[in-house]
Amino acid sequence: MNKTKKIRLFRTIKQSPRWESVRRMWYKFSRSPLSIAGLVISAACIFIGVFAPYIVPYPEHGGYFSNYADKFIPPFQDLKYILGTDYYGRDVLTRTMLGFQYSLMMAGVVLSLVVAPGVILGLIAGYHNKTWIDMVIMRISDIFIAVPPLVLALGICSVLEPNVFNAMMAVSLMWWPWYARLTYNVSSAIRNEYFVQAAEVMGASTFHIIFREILPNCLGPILTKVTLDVGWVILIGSALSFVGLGAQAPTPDLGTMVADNFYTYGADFWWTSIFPALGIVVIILGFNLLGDGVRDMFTE
Amino acid sequence: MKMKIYVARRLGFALLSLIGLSILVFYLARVIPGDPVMMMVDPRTPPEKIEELRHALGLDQPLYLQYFFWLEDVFRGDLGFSVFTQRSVTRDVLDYLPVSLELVILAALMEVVGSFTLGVLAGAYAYKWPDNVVRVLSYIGISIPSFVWAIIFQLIFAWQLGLFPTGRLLDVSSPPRVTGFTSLDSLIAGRFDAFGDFIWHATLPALALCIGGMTQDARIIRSGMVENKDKEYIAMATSQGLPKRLVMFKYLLKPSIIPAVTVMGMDIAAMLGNAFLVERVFLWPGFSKHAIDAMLMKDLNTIVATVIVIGVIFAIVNIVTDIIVAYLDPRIRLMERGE
Repeated sequence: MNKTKKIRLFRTIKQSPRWESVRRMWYKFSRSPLSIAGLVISAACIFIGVFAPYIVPYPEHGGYFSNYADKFIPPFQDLKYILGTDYYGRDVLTRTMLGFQYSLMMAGVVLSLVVAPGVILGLIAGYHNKTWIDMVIMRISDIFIAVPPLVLALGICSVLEPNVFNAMMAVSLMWWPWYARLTYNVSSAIRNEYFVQAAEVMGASTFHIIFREILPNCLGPILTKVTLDVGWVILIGSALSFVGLGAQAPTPDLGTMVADNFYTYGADFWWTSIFPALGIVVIILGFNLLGDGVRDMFTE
Repeated sequence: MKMKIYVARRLGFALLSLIGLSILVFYLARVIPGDPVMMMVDPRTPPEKIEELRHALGLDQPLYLQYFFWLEDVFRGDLGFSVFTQRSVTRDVLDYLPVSLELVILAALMEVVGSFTLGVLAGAYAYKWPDNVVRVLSYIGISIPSFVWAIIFQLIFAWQLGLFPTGRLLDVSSPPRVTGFTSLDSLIAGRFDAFGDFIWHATLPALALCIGGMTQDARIIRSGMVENKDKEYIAMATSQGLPKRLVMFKYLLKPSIIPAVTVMGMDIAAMLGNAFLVERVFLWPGFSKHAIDAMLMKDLNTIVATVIVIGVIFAIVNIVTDIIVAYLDPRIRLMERGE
């Protein structure tokens, strides 16, 4: 009785390799203070993005609002407006925090649209390595990689009406090939490994081989890229708004705020453009550090 | 694989993607915005006049035929008429492109020199303070995008301190136009004042363009050097009593820069995109700034031409990078001679 219990206990611990690998991954992640810093910064950015309308001091400053009595208050002088105010007397801190919402929404929508199709196409091309399927998929994805992403996004946005939705669609249209590429590189490399061949010999379906045998081996690089891409998508989105082809004023988008305030009052009222710009910088920094941590987590 | 075949293959693939790209942008610019004839004419024009114009422009043909006509024009060097500048797009490209390329080339030079200096310093003094400074710089470099650098530089160095000018190519009279490249033209004309003035104007935008990539490449060179330091051939060179500097530059640096060159090529190619933002901040009168202005005015021919022209330059930069890497890496070079 006692003996069997002991054996069972032993087995339950041994039998959860998944939990064990999560623990080991967390250990690898947590060893680097920079990864932890990245996790904290990104979590803070997401928190601000999600709850901004409820935690900002002046929620009404996000749209058409003016209070000319308080215009252009410099930062760190008035406790009511820590980061100062802009031409319309709107709180820069409030608008920057609301800007996180648009930026993260951009990243969320774009990544949820592109990751699945990109990965699936990459897997299919990688599994049918060196056949016409591979050729067609990868040559089509080459088209979207033939110019810097920003240029194509600008081109697409400019023929459409400039607004947040079209900017998201334009960025999504040109972002999937990077996932197809990445997944293709990993999956075509492991396509001829023995475990894939074994599954083929046992008569497993193509679906099973692609999703149950090949996909789990691609997850590390894909998750790393998704994390890093949150920052890059936000950068492209704010770049589009920055040149006037994305979100339009008075939307509190970080890129729009930087551009509008910089061109109009840049020299004398630097805080109106620098703090939103710092918002972009913090997001990119946070997700980059987090992405490095995720990469460490998956490397042996 | 023979080098020539490899390059030919790369060129073939690049041409294929460019044709695909042209189909994509042609479709985007011709189909999505609506009827191009209706956009050109007065809304009160009688319908038969519209049909006449449509026929004269070949717009009553099926779309794929229109594409081939357009492609034929492009190969003849005719990119269409710009509604924005009221002249041929080809002329605009020829006028504005050198100004942008000059900036990107200067930024590329700064990136190469800067990343080598920082990378070798960090590699030589690995785990000492120069290494840590470069590490911190690389985190700053990757998280601040080039247009934010541009804004910061302009605010501090141009507007607050007044050290650098903005908004123009030259403050002195411009040299006679020969190549369109201001720096080359001023050297051809022997106008060293104009050359110096141009460099002075271009420093801030070029620095804003290259600083992110520069710090990243420095890190890559540094890690390559640290990795190769423990290799046996370095120990052998040192034990043979070769001077430290010789070991450092001849034996250690050369294999360490190959991965950095690949990334440098990608960074320089990406500058073509970032130039769109940086030129706009500095009001640099180049192709990118012109293209953005045209985009905001919905000048479709210029939009299509921009994507194609940037695509061609992008392909050239990528292929040149591959050739340089193949040249630097003896494994690729020897494979060509041997098997």
